[in-house]
Amino acid sequence: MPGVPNTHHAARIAATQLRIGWRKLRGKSVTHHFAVGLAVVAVTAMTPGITWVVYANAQSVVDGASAIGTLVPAGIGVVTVVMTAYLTVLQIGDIDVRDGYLTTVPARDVVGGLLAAGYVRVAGMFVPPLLVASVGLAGGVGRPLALLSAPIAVLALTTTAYLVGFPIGMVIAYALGQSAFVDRYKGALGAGAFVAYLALLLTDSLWTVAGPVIEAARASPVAWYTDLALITVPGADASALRAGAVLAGSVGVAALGVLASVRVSERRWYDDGAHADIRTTDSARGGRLDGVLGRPAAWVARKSWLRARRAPIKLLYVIYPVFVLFGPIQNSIAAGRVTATLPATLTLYAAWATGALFALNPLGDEGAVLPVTATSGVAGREVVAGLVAASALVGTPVSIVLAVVLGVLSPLSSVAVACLAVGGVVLPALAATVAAGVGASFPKYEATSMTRSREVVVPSLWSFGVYTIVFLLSAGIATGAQSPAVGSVLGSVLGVSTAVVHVAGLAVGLAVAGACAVVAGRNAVRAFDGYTADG
Amino acid sequence: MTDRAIEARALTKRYGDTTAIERIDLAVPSGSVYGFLGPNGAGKTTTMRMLTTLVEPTSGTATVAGVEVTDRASVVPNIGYLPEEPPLHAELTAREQLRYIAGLRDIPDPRAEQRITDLLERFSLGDDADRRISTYSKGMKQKTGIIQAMLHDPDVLFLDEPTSGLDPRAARTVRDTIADLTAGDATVFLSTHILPVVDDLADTVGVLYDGSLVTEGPPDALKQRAEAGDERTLEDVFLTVTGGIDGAA
Repeated sequence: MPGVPNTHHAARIAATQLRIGWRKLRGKSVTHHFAVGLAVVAVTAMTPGITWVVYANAQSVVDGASAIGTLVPAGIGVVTVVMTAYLTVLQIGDIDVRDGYLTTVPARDVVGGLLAAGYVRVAGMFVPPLLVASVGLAGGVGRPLALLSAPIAVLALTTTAYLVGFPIGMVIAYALGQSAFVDRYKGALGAGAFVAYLALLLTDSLWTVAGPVIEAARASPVAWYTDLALITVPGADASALRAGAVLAGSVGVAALGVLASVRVSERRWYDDGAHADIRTTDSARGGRLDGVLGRPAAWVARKSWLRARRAPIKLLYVIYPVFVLFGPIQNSIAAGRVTATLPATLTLYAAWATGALFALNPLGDEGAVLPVTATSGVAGREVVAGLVAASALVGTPVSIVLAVVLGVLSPLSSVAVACLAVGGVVLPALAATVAAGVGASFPKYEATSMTRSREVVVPSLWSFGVYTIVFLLSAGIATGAQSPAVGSVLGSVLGVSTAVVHVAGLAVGLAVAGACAVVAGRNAVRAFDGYTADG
Repeated sequence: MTDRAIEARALTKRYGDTTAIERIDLAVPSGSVYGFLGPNGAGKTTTMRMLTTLVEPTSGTATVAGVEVTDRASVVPNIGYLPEEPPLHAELTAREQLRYIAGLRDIPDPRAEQRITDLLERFSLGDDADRRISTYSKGMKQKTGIIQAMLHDPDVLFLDEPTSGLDPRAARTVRDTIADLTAGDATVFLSTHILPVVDDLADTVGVLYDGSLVTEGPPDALKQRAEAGDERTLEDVFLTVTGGIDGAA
């Protein structure tokens, strides 16, 4: 039948995709294994809890007294659709060595394989706990037959939602691929989307967006999956008609989802994509920086900026710790003013991010060019100076503005604001030097997948962790001492004024961070000068 | 299979305002080797991608093994394709990769095993067949890609730079294999910059320049046409016709 995948081919492709995924996972670092293991342990640990909640509430759902009865399928359905669409755009909607597949089997068979493998990946993390939770439902209502109907409802709901989300993701990916504007500004657009997502989280507005969608799903036949789950439970407020209709509807929607997936995938793979006009640019020119840093260091700095501008996705890791700032930012939003802790927190983060920008993987970030750089005659101190300058020239203005503007708007004393401003001037350069030293000790040369088609070299987890700890323990003294609470407590303990604590804290913090920077800087220079390809 | 393994009429591909391929005509008889030459960026890969159904022509028509290239599902079983970068999964071993493709090609298991073993031996890959492809050299990947493309005895084999990265012995194996294939009625559409390979194997040579087929014919005839009465090589022909349209013979 036209458009319908050959199940034998699709199963073979799916099995191979999963096997390849498993082997890729096994080839990852220990820290990656640890993270995956942690996720599996977390899901496994949560499963009994979910099962117990279902067990405890089963009777009220059966009695029709609980809103959970409609909320659960609506929530699962919406989350599955959104998650599937998102992952389809980024990962599961395309296949490695696509040309090889498309000249071996019809495209519809490839889509069939992707659908099957993708379902295992998307649903793998949350469907097993839901199936286990069915035991809780059956136990809670005392009806073993629910062990049959509840899993059928879970599988029907998640499969249908998945087969709705997949073509939606494909349509989005296709539309993105057809826009020259998106092709040109995808880095900025991605960053904008991430910032918008952060803004939703920071302002507690996520439910404002998701709430109406879930409410609409509750009011739709999606809620009838509860009827399907409870159809075997006598006395339950479940309609056989609704249960039958939702099951038949699932089959129909799923079939349409497969056909739509095939159709849109073919269009995505065979239609000419839009590409931004290739602009010939020559942004890398000598300039005033040459006179300040010397030509080699200035070119190292320029090279870092150019690469970041053309591939901003490689700097995404710098934004990750923003989640730590949620508390202070949300407190300020809730209070409607800049709180006393916000200026120091954001100044410290700005300095940390400055260091992490370009200097945290000085050897690995050079990639295939490293042997050329290492044998070019450029000295280690010039490379390190260039990386520190590249970071500090970008980050220092930001940290100064954050320190001064937020400090002035906050209840901090003028001494504390002045101390923060000094920290905003000095700490970014120290941070970059510390980062270079730590990064040189824990280099990472292997690329990490950011999306299916994009791999970039990011700093190692060890660099990330050690740099963060060293920097927070040193520079954190300088910014932490500007807190009114810290100033007050230490002032009374030491018998000095709060202002003295602010200034002394700044001096100690800068001295410790400076000492760390000296040691780290020397280490980075030595690592580059002594670099050999065999490590 | 028809007399013409590949036939194209006014085949054209445009990307926006840019014309990649301009109205090329091809008529490649079954059982022959067509050497497809052209400088970098001339449009050779785009042409191959249209003929292998990976890219839709903007206008014109083409058939491969008697099937319109717009009927992708029907073309695919009849062709083998080795792109410039062999389409292999680095996480699989060569044997696993080939068994996998044999399965997708619906080759019965006993026949597939025999064919895989024979081809691996022929390309001196037998001892390394159970190692992951990620550990392979460029030449070993290329050999695996070639075996994969010809595993199902396709009617038409499209090879894009098949000898790239191969040592002289392996390159010779590829040449011998192509000769054997065409002796068995398969057709090979061969794109390469290694002119002696084309000179040795091709029944017909077509030279693509700036999206247009600027010359076509048997290698000997082209060489004679390049400068009558003088001993010329295929390289001379190539340099003459790709020096500009005015230089076309």
